Amino acid sequence: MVRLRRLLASAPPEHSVPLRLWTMVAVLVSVFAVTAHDDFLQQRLTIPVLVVAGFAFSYWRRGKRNWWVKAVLAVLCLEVSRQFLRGVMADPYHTSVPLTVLLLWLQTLHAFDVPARRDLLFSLLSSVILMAVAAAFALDHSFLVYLGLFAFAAVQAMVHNAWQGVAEYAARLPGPRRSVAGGAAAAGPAPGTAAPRTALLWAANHLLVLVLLGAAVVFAFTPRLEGMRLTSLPFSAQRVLLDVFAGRIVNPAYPEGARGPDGAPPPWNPRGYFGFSTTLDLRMRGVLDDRLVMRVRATRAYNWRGMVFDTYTGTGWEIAEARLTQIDGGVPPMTITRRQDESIGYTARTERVVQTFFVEEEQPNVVFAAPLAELLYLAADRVYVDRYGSIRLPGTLRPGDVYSVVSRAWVPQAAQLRAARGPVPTFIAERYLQLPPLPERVVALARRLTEGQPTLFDQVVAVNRFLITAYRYDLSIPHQRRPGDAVDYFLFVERRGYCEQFASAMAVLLRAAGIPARLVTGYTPGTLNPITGLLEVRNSDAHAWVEVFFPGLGWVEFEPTPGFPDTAELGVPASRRWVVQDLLALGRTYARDLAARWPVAARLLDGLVLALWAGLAVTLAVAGGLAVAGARRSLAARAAPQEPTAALAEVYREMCALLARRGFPRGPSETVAEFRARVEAAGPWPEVAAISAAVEGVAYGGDAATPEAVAAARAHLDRVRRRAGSARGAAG
Amino acid sequence: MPTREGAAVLALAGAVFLLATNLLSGLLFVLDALLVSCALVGFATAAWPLRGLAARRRVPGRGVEGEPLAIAVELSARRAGRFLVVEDGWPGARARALVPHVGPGAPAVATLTVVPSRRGRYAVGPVEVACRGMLGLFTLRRRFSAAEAVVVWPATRPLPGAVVESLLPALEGRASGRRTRQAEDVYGVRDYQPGDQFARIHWRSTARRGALVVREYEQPEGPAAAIVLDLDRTQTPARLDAAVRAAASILRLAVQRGADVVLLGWEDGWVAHRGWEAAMDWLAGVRAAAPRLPEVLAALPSDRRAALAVAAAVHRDLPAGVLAVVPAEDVAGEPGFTGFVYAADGTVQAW
Repeated sequence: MVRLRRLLASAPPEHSVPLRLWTMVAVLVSVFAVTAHDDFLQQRLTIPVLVVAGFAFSYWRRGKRNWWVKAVLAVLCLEVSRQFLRGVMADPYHTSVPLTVLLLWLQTLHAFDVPARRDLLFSLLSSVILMAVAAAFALDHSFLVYLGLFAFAAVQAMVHNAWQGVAEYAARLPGPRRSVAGGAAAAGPAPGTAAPRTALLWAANHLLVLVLLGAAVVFAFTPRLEGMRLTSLPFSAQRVLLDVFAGRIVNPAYPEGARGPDGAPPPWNPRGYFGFSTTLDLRMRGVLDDRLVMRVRATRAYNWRGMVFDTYTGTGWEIAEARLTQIDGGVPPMTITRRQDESIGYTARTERVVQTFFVEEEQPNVVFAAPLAELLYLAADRVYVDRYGSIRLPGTLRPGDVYSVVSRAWVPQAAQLRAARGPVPTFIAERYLQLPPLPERVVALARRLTEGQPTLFDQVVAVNRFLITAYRYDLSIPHQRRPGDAVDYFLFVERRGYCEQFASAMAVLLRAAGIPARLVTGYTPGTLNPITGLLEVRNSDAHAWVEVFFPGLGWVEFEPTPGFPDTAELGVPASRRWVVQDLLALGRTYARDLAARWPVAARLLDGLVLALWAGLAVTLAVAGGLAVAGARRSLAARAAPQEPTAALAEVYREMCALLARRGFPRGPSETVAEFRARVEAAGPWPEVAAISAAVEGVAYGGDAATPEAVAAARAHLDRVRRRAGSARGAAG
Repeated sequence: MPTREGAAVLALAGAVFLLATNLLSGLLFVLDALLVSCALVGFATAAWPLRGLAARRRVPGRGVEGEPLAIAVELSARRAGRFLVVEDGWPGARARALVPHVGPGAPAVATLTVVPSRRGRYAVGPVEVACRGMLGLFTLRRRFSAAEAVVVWPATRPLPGAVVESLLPALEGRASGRRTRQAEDVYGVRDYQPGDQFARIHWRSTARRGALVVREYEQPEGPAAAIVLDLDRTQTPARLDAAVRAAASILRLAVQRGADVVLLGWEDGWVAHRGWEAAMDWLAGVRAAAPRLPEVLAALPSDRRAALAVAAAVHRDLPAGVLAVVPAEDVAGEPGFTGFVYAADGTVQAW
């Protein structure tokens, strides 16, 4: 109760201007970091101005009775809370925005009443919470600029706060003013007096460097555990998708469709992937640019499946089935029901994959997600699902849109796949064995690759491996020089091509061998940004792969294009357990790219890396040697004999502590003789008498303490210890 | 030990880590790393200066109740350190001093002023140096072994004029009418010894002998007066302290007037202390462990009794707080006394 009263009691006003200034700067930086997000642009000017005014007002009113200020602030807090509740009730699925606005206003109102140091500390800690909110909203490295500024201001504020705190601590015991002199120290301050500003600034700047370096090391070795166990996943609230397409697929890069006049392929648009349409023309040629199209936060990295094609035409693929299932939006999330082709009893282990997509560039009205999406968090009145499990939206995805998907992805095991056998359901065979008339050599190749393979899985792997090893991935292939089947042209003429050629070849060869297969388009997982933890998906990550049907199991992804990660490598956690692993992997990727483009630079880099390793080894060796030397010195110092007088005093203190535990505490003003007499009155303690006599002789008798006397005293102490121990044992 | 700020930073770091894990937000991990780094640097800057720090203390051997006593602690360091707080003293009299900076080649001396609240003999224990680091997130302490003893004398107060008038005759031996041998009486001559005052050289004998000869004076027969302190074990510590202060005040008066006074008390027998310092040292540590005053006075040795000119005592039969000043001859009998009253702080007033 006393401590509570002390906590609630008024604290003395804080007069330090630097402390107030740096705290205010830290708060301002946190406010700017939060209001950098589009949802808070309204508060970007108002709140900083009010914060500055608040801190100035607090400084002016410090030390005065401010009951009326607190009353006004209390009323304003109620109003702000009312606005928050209103916002939450208007949109209960997006509480983060009104909650953040509430935090901003509470921090602003608090700025008007910070008279004491503890109030400033509270402001500083609140600004850390605002920085955390800003970090949760931020998607790119621009947040690091705010974080750097915040660290600078916060360290300055903490150093000044530490100075004031230690001055108060030093003054807490009663007594006249203390003074310090000598060396480099100035006279010690009474609490509230001015701090040595230059020294503090110097110290704070050096500390900032240490803190930032330490943060880099800590960040690299921070473990990343499985997360995203949220009751509600994020999705954008700003824009509701109006249903303008009624289930049609619209690709902003090919607004007229993926078929040009007279059935010829349309002109190439590097800004969008031609595979996100209802038709996919294998005669398209071009290179996609590297624009960032979306960022993904996911528990596992998968190919982000967009569309499925079931009909091969000889020049490309089409989606034969036009019927769609409409799923109405309402209370999010939307539950995605599967169509016939997906309604198969999966017997393999599945895992929950949570993904949030942050759209950066306009995308077709298709939901990209890991396979077998179950729940969709999206601001739309309805969505459409086709028989292949692809989800179509009422409108295109615009920059700034956010949606989340929970998938139940299947984790196929090789043994399970090998064991798969049995008849293929008719509705699957009818659709996914479809082929136009093919050149005989294609069929013969399919037969040759698959005959003699013991299982279906081995057959599929044989085709897959053949394509990966015998053909080359090349984005510079020319247009098809003669008409005819596109897959035949790829397999026997060109022998190189895009992922569409590889995926089409695999699907066609499998179908020719009687194995149901289909073409899928979407995006590869993207590149992990170790800093933000997001997968960055670029336009050039658009991809095509194959899904193969295994009886009794379902559709399994396969990757036929060389240079792309095998599907067995998918489904792993998006980021590794330790950030340092991701950083090293990123470094290796950059080094590989560098080596491919500039061999000379790569060799230089190799040399630099070697030099760094050598330097690290030397540094570690030197540091290890210094550490060993230091440890030896420290041990030697500890083993060095203590000065005899101090050693004797230590023995006496240990004896008193021992006797205190045995029920003989020495009074604070009890003399050595009095204490000895009291102890001896309770029983014979010749050792106590001997130690006391030695101490008295040194302290008051002018005797010199000798190592022999100390040794004798220690021997007496050991006997006291044994007697005390045996007495306790006897008593027990 | 984390300070309040340190605990807050650690709590925030934990909360941000949980949030970052749940949201899989890399930037939250960065913020968390910053908080953890602050805590680590805060700990390091608190621990670093304490290593390689040495402290030496100089404390006066004596102090007086209620009067400031300066303790000087010299800090020398192998590493630079800031925001150190030196704490020293003993229970009931402790002080802290802030040392803003100490470094190699830049020692600092902190002067702590303690005000002992009570007389006694105190063992001044280890010097404690605390460091909160540059960020104020942790407080680490280090103790430096040092053992000195301080004797705190009781406080004395000037006696009122009326009291002085009444006490002086007794203190100077005039009340008993006894003539004592004076220290000015010459006893004889002897050879000069180094340290003898030149004023004592007997020139006539020196001229005759051809070597320095000095006069040797009579030793005084005994003190002109004695102050008896009642150490009745049944009295409260507060009453004993008041009596001690009163006795010290009277003793000071006697010393100021040049009176030769001895201080007597009962500690398993009569003990006598002569001279200002010896008497005050004894008063600093005296404890109430004696029987009733009349009993111990009855056991006063006869030669002592003869030497007594006055016994100023607290008599059990007197009202509390009354100081009885009695002639020596009346010690064993019915006392004729002049009564005084002393307060808890030892001031003596006429009753």
